[in-house]
Order: sequence, then structure tokens, then C-alpha cells
Amino acid sequence: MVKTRKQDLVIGIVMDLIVVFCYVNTKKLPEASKQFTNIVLLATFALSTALIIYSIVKKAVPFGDEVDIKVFKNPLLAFVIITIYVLLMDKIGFFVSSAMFMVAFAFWMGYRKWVPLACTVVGMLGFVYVLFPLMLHVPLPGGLLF
Amino acid sequence: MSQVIAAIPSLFTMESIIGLVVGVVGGMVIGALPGLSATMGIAVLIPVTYGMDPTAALIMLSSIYTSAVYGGSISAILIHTPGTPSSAATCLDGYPMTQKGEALHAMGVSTTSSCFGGFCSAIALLLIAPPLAKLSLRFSSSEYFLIAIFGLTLISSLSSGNMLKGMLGGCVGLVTGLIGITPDGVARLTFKKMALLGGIPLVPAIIGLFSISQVMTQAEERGMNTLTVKKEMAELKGRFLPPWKEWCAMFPLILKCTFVGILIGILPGAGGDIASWVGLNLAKNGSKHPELFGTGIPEGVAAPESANNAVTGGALIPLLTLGIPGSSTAAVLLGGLTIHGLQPGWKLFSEQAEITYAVILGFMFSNILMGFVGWGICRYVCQVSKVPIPLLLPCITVFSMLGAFASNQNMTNVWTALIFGLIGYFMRKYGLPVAPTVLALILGPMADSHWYQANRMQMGKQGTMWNYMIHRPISVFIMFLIVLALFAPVISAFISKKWEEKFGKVTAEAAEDI
Repeated sequence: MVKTRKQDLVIGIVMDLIVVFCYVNTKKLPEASKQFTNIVLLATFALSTALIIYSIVKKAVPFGDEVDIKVFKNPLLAFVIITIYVLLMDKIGFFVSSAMFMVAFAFWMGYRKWVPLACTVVGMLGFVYVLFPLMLHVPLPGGLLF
Repeated sequence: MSQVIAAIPSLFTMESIIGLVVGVVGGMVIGALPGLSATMGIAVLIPVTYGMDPTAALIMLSSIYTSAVYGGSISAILIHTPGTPSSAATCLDGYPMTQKGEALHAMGVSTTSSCFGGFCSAIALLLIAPPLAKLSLRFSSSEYFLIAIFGLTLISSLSSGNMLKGMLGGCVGLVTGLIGITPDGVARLTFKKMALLGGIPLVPAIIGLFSISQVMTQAEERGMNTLTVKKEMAELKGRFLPPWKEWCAMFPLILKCTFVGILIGILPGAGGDIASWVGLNLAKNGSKHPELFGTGIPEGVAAPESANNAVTGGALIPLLTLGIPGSSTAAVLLGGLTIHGLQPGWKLFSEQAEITYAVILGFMFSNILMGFVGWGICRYVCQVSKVPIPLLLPCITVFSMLGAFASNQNMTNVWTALIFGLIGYFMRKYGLPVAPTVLALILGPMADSHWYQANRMQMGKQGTMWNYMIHRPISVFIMFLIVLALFAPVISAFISKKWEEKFGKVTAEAAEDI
């Protein structure tokens, strides 16, 4: 279990690190470009530092709900599946990869009714095919298969 | 007026009419689906408009906006599940009406109030936007810079949750907006990557922040019963339209809520969810029987519904005139505008007046059509909320990736959507609102370029940038608004405290009862 104050502290530190990283990488910019950049970075640094201070002060009321780290497991797995889908899209084309992804994702989510799933995949991809390549002439990623 | 009349033929082309109907029906379905908001719906459906005529495309997108806000009330009333955040307030009285066997009556009140609110906001858009756009001709870079800062101040202070995290959410967008070429042509934070020179593409970033992050959030429920629970829908019997006497009795309240909704819509960052709670507050505070709210009375449905639909037209006013989105959905619409080669400002109401006025008229018609379509199909639309989530999520993902790819037809955009999906998910989980991020992503580069130009303009004159600004009356006025916006949370807390002392508490916390 991550305490709310602790998660605020993490956000503050991460944001401050991002600001420092951006500041270092924009130091060599010409003066005219640097002005607005520095204003934004300074504002972000001030706010994230304020969040850090707020999370350290014991009397401060925590913001928001506590986040249980365990809840990240399924969303991160979902993210991995989507990433594989995007990688495949580039290699084997949009339609084949999308069909594979839809079946795999629904199955992973615990869906086991094959007829509605097949109808959804065919209906969805059929609609996309008619609308994009045929009617709107928008080319979709092609690949080895389709 | 002549420009409005000249725009009528563009509205009645076959493509525009199809766009209008598809937008109204599609928006209603999207709105009725819990977990899909108008913002997400538009973000995902923008690619469908790529090959369309700009007028038809924008009519479709604006119709989705207003219709999705209304669609959210259908599932809120009939199955006690708000389809969109802005219909959460409707649940409080809508569902008790359904439980009392007055489901169709509640739907009728919701439909008529939504149509009225949306239609009036379209008229406000038609009347206010052109003069405001003309006024924008007097704006120089310093005013545009200050307007962007004003928008940024407001989105942070009005964001849900607390102000500090709202502002930090905005800062995420501002820092991300720094990536790309600076106004004086230098690469900034691009790390020698060609793909980053043009900055972060807006549409894929929005798709990631709203759609992919939502898919990830819904994936948390994998293996839980919530994915398969089927909610029973009440039987719809009786009269749809509210009796004339009841309508007349509620009219002053609906009018008041509509007015408030339009004002809230104009304010950058405040959306339909805030408006619907403010509307409900107004209704309760003005009622002779505040204790009846929550037991299932028509006023409790009419007030939030007229207010949240009135936001839609209001939010388009600063969007079309100044390029500042009045809500996160309007921010996505800005993406739709730019994709079709339209730039907000006076040009929209002069050179491109035919398209603009046709879109505004289409928006007006969509609010009327929404009433008829809602009357006819509300009971069927509600069935879509029973679509299993495991089937819905892959469809949303595929459409999101398609949208990201089609916006510029390259895989970089798809990766951008994916990365922003991950960022958006963690932001949601750690309490950083994503709506200010999107608005800051739009307003940040705007502020940057106008800051640079204002600096160049004052270089020939004596004094500093500050001196230059305080000698311009419009700039001083906007500065005053910025100060006011900074103190808005303090003022708002003070007013809320006074209201609570006098009338009791009716706030979003009441949603916990839902």
C-alpha cells in the first residue's frame, strides 16, 4: 500500500527531476528562447517543491485516495499487450494485427464467448476497411500479410 | 445576418445531413456507455472525418459533443449509471423517478431540458462569437499571451480535486509543449530526433491521455464480477413529454441553469460536470421544498441537464474566437478544426464564414434533432451499456490506434498515443488531472509564441515587457482577470461556506450515494 502523502512526495520528486533534466538540456538555448522555457520550468519546480513540502508536513491533509500498487499489475499487462499490438501492426499490417489483438485482449480479459467475439472482430474490422481505405482513401499500415 | 443565410446551403448538403444524424445518434450511444465520455468519443472519431468535407466533419463532431452529454443522462436515469461525468448529478433524482415508475417522464424532462439548454447555448454562440472574434482583431501578441495565461490559471484553479495538483497537471502539459522548434527557430528538448522537431502531435497525445489511459484503468477490473454484471432496465411506460403546466413551472429554473451553464462553458477548464452540480445547487437553493431533492423530482433532473448541455455552446465561444478551449472536449474539437485547416479567430467569421456559420447552425439543429432521436431511441440506446467491457476495450484500443495513425499517417503518432496513454494512466492513479494537461498542451505553445512576439514588439520601445503591457488597456483588463482567477478558489470556498451555512450541502460529494 502506498500512502497518499508518500505518493505526493514521489510525484513532487519525479517532477523536480524532470525540471532539472529539462533545464540542463535547455541551458544552451538563445536568450529569446530561454525566457519562456525558464518561466515554465521555474513554475513547475516551484509547484512540485510545494507538493513535496506539503507531503512532508505531518499536519497537512493528504490529497486524494491511497493507491494500492497491486492494481498496477493488470493495467501494465494491458499496456504490454497493446505495445506488442503496435509492434505487430508495423510488421504484419493493421488488419491482421488488429484481429489478433482483439481476440487476445478479450480472451485475456476473461471473455470466452467465441461467436460474439468473432462477430465483433469481423464487424469492427469490416467497418474500418469500408470506411478508411475504400471510402475515405486513408491508407492503413500494411505488412507482410495484408 | 447575410453570412448566416449564405451558410444555409452548406448545411443542407447530403454529407452535412449524414454527419448531423451520425453525430447525434453516435454521440448518444457514446454518452450512454459508462466509461466513454464525449471527449474520448470525439478523440477516437476524429479520424473518421479526415476524408470528409470540413463543414460536414465539424457538424458531426459538434453534434457528438452535445449529444454525448445528453446520452449520459439516459443510463443515469434508467440504470443508475452515469454515462458521462456530467450526468452524475442527474442520477440523484433521475433514478429515484425510475424507481417510482416514472422512467419515461424523467427521460422526457431530461430530453426537453437538454435540448433547451443546448439550443440556447447555440444561439449564444451565434450571437456572442462573431463580435468577440471581431474584438480579437484589437488583440496584439501581449493580449494573446495574457489570454493564454488566463486560460492556464483557470484550468488549474477550476480543475477537480485540489488546486496544487490541478496546476501540476497543467505543468505536465506546459513542459511537454516545450518540445519542438522554438518561435525563433531553435530545436528545444528534441534530443536530435527528427520526429520531435514538430513538437508533440496534439491528436495522438489526446487519444493517449483520454482513451488508452481509460482502457488501462478499465483493465484493473479484469477478472472481477463488475465486467459481467447486468443491470436491469426499468420498463418505460406512460407519457414522454412533461405536462405543459409542469414545463411552465420549471421554465424559470431551466432558463437560469441554461444561463449559468453557458457562462461556465465560456470559462476555460470548467466543463459539464461542474455545471450540472452548480445547476442542482441552484435548483435546491431556489426551491420551496429543498428536502424533496434526491427523492425523485423533475426539477432535480431538469436543472443539471439544462446546465450541462448549455456548457457545450458556451465552450465553443472562446474556442472559435480566441483558440482557447472552454472544456477538455472543446480542446479535442480544436484538434478537429486544425486538421481541417481552420484556425480560430476573426478569419473563421470572415473568410471561412460559410463553414463556420454552417457548423453553428448545424450545432443548433443537432440540439433539436437530439430531442426527436432521444424520444425515439432512448430505450434502445440504454441497451448499449450492457455491451461487455472485454469486448468494448479492444474496439476502443483499435479505434484509438487507428485515429493516432490516420492523423498524420505515420507510426510515430501511434507510439506517441501509447506513451501518453501510460503517462495519462499514472497521472489518473496519482491524482493529477489530465484535462489541464491537454489544455496546457494547447495553450503553452500559444503563450510561448506570443510571448516571443510581444518581446520583439516592445524591443523598439523603451522599457520592459511589463511596461509595454500595462500601457495597453486590454492587457490590463486581462491581467485583472488573471488575478481574479488566481483568487477564484478562495472566493469560491468562501461562497460555498456561506451557502452551506444558509441552505445545507448539495455538492459532488453527494455522488458518493450513487
